[in-house]
Amino acid sequence: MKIIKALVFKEFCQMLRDPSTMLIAFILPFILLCVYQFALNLDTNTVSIGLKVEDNRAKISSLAAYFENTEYIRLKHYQSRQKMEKDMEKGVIRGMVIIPNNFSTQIMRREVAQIQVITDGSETNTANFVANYASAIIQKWLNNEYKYWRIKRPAVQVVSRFWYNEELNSHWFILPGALSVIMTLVGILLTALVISREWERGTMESLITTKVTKTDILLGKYIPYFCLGMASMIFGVFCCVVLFQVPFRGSYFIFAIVSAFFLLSLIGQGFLISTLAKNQFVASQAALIAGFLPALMLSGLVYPISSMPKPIQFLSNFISAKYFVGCSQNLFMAGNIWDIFIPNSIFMILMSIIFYIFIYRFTAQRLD
Amino acid sequence: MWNRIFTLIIKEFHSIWRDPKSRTLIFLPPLVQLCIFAYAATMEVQNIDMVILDKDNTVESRELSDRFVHSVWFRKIYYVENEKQFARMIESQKVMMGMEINTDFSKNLKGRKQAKVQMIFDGRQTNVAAILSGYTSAIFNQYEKDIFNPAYNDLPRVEVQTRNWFNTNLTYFNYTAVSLVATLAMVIGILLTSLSVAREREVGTFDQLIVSPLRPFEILIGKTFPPLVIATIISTMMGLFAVFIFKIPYSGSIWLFYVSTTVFLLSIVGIGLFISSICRTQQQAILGTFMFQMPAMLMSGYISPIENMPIIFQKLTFFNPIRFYMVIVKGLFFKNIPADVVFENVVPMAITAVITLYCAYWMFNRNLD
Amino acid sequence: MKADAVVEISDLFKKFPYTSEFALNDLNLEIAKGKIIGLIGPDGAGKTTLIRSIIGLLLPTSGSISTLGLNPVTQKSEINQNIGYMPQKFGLYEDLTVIENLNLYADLKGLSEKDKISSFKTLLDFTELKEFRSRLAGDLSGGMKQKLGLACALLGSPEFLLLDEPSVGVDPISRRELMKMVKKLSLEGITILWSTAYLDEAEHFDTCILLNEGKLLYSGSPKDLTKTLCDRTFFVQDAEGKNRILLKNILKDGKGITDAVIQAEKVRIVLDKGVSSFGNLILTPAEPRFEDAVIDILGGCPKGESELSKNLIFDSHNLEYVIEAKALVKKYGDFYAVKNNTFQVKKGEIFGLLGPNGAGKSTSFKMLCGLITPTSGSARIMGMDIRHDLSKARSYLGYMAQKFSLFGGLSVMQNLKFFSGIYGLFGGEQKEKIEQMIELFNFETYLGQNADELPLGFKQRLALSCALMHNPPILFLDEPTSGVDPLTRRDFWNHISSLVEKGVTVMVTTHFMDEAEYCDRISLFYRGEAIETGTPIELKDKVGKDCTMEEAFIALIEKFDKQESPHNENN
Repeated sequence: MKIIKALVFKEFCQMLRDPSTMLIAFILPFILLCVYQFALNLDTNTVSIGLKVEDNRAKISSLAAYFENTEYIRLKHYQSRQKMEKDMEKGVIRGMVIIPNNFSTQIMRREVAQIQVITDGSETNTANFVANYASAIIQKWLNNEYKYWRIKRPAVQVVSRFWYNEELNSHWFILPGALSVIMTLVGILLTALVISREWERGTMESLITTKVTKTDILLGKYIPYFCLGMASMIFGVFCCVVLFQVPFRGSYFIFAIVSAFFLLSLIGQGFLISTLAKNQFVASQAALIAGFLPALMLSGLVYPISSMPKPIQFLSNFISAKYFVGCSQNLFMAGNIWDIFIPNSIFMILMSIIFYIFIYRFTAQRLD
Repeated sequence: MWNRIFTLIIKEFHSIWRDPKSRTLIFLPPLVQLCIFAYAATMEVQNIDMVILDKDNTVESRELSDRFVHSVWFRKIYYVENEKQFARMIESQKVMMGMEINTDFSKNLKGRKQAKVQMIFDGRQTNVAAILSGYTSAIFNQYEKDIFNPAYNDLPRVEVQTRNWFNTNLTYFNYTAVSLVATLAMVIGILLTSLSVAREREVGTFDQLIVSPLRPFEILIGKTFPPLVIATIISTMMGLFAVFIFKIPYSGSIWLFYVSTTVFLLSIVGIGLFISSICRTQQQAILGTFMFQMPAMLMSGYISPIENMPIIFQKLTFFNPIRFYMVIVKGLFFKNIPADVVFENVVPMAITAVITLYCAYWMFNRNLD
Repeated sequence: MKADAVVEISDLFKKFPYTSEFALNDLNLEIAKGKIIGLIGPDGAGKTTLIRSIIGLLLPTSGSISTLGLNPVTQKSEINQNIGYMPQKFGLYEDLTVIENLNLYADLKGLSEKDKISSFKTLLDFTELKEFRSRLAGDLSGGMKQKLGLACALLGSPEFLLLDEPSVGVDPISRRELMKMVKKLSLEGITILWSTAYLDEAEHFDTCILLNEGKLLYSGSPKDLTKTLCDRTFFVQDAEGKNRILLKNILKDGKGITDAVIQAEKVRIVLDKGVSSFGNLILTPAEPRFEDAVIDILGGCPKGESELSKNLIFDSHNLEYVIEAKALVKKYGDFYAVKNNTFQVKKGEIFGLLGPNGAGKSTSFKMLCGLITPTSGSARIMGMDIRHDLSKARSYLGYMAQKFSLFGGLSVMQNLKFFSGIYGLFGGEQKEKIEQMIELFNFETYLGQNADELPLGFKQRLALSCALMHNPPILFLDEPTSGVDPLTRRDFWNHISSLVEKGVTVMVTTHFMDEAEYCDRISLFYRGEAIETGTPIELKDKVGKDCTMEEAFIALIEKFDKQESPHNENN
């Protein structure tokens, strides 16, 4: 006990006196959260579209007005088709709407009138939105301008509701998930270098000639970094709730517990990398490649796991961030949903235990 | 002078190449990541599970349910008996959406009154929910057209013809793979340079370089050139991979690709060297590159468009080379963009390159202490 | 297990994976209780490997070890209870203060609170670190770090203390104090194993274990070994004082000589057994040293002439002072690393900067090379101010860095190509030069090997050849012989001597006192100042008696300290 206390104290001293630790634990997450909050926007609420009206009838100008007045579209008028195409090439606009000159004639003749919408497929994210917005506006215009030809109302009225996030505010979704990714980064980056640093500096060699056991060494490292990780997480939640106004509907206590499990698995991963790597250079590369990038891509934060090919879905089961993302998003947006917490927590605990076992096995008590 | 530079360049190449660890680190991870993430990163939502609460249970309501059952996007459809079970399925995220059909559904349809159907989407999966809503509209539109179509014969119809240029099928995979080619080029470029000076300082061989007749300017060139070449080779490899293995068509000019890649990598190498020169240890250098890479990736336009960011952030991205490189690479692959468009995007990268390389040079000079 | 033996080793072999040589080769020895045992040998001899094997940090490939009656392979944790170990990097936590380090180790060894208080008091007094208890370990000087390392190792009153190179790079006063402390401990019955590469420390040990390339050369009392050479050691002197030429001639002939080395103004020779005269030189009998005996065991020093000077041609010039330093100062914040350093080096001189680590000699040295910018003062190389003509000045320098900073991941050939290239050689000239170096230094069989896998002696040669590629008139050598075995050291200095004969000026830094004997003039560095400058004889004469360099240094330092702080004299 005394030994563990002494080791924990030592680790805290080292941690607090090293400026880069504070940088990683608090400043880096803050910067990243700001970037996620302000720079990332998955709503795509505005799209730049170019409009060329070839039909000069008065009625058609009101269609142009509809495009103009909607907040979802940044409209640009074009007289020349060539210039419009060039701008689409350049990426200035993401879609073109062309109203041919026989449009109103065709409508009056009760023929099928055509409007051309061309999207920039290379911006695959926005292309869908372009097509949808354009169609929706045209429908609306038709309904209002040709009252006596109003399309009969649909037989089925669909009432849609979005539970937990009524306005589909993408930040409510991104930030809790971003916490998961950022914590992965912090947790693994902090710990991946710690053990290999002691080997490189020679202090580990000295430790293993005293009375310490493997458990002492490991607990002496787990405890301080766990505390630091929790502090970092609390700071992150503070930023999300207070600074960025993301609602928190669950219980903070449960969040703390789930975070604890998550952190344990992360610390385990980091320390395992640190134990196996011979030096800091290799440790940091491994942390980046095996720890962080998979968390970013395969945790379900940005890309839905269910849409991934089966082998990759299988891979994502080994990433603890995946389990935490689910819990985190729920705690923020929904509340306490035990059906989700319990299985996810079990997985995280399992991973923590497995990592600990491996670390224990590989912690050397000799130099051979 | 050129001989000295040439000698240094050869040495740098040897250093990177001879160490088997650094060899694998350079070639293997990008290819692996390209494969995994290209397949993983898809916004096409598929394999959706949904729950249906059909309180009507008539031919008409089952007809509607079948639309979802037979749709390619949906995987498993769960049927429940009451609201409580319905809510539970969505709450526990067993399904991503649900449809509730009331008892008076078929009665209203037959009586020419509007029948209501309630769709519930899981807002926690915010990005997916919006897309699901779109799918649902499409299914309902088709349902309307098929079942109630004859009534529309007399009305004017406006057909919106939608075509997708450059990526006709909106293949998300192509978009991701090409974007990844750009991203991974950045990762490799920075990796190679940021550690070079820091490591030599730690080991002591940097002193040897300084004590020699090599001028700081020559050292800069010597350290810039090899990573540039290697990163370009890897970019080429990944490009070839994308074209021949992933079968993504490439429509632009090859020359433009290499010119812009070179300028891009120069700016990245400049950033890497700059970070390397202000860091005393390898650990700091690794941290530094990381703190650059993460925000750079997030603000590159890959995940969300630049034009939707707040103005301040948009202006910041001027110094983010990957933002411009992304536009160029996507443009060259998909749009066959002409030289002037490429040039417009190359200039900011070149400016960043000049600034960072100069800063690195200045720090080399100062930091001989 | 013998009653009074602390360690017994039989038929010990140790081989590391991926290497073909044995790190420890057929060792059989004993360590007796209560004695101070010196483990002596150059870098790579196997000292650290042996110590680590004794306490169980490494496992033997074959053979057996018994430590304190226990088996290190199976009973390592019990052994841990009774030993104190100080590893090479001292095992200190640089981010913790002195008292925090002590506390940590005390807790790790299970001391009670009461024991802690009394131990700390004793140790802090013993090591004179009491006033530094709140200073971060990383801010201590080299000597203080070593004392702190020793203090931590002593916690828990171990019966067996193992110190891995505790005196390396430390100033001679601290080294002496360390040795005094250790002797006191031995009187209390503690067994101490002290490893070192310095042969001159041997006389302080009760027993010494001499290792070379993993093999045991000798185990026993150093005095006994030294005595065996009592009538074979002599001094010879050249009438005109040209001792280097004398040495060269002696070695050229080589018959009947076991060893010949410069000692101040004389040449010390060791004759082969049974030989009583050498040519027609007048032999004055000399006291044998431990080092002489070691050379004898190793088979004698390398003989013959240095090929190097025969084949290298240097541009001649007429400058009198080749290196000049005027009032060089280097400040880091408030801390003066070098205070007001002024000296001049003549053409063809070997000038030494002597002093412990942290004294400022490396900093002065680096300022002259242009590696560090002086805070004030000026330096001239070949008459050129280094601040104005840095690149040109550097082309006159050949630089051999500490620990031979070569590009370890590159092959020998690639290193040679690189250094010749950046010093302006290319094409046919470059090829010729490289071939010449390969022949002179016998690199043939090592051309494709990675530089960091070379044996230490070859690393040194490679570093020297890279420094000489462009025939520089000035050579800067930074701790060129640290850690090498005495034979390699002699070989190296023979090369240097022959270069100097051809007019090359050499500037060398070292913390190895005896190496000062090879220099024409020395500057003694202590705490940032060059406290004395002169020829070795002049410095020794200042102290008065016929003494070793180390004794002279200690006396001069003490004199300096007294001058600097007369009001502290009573402390």
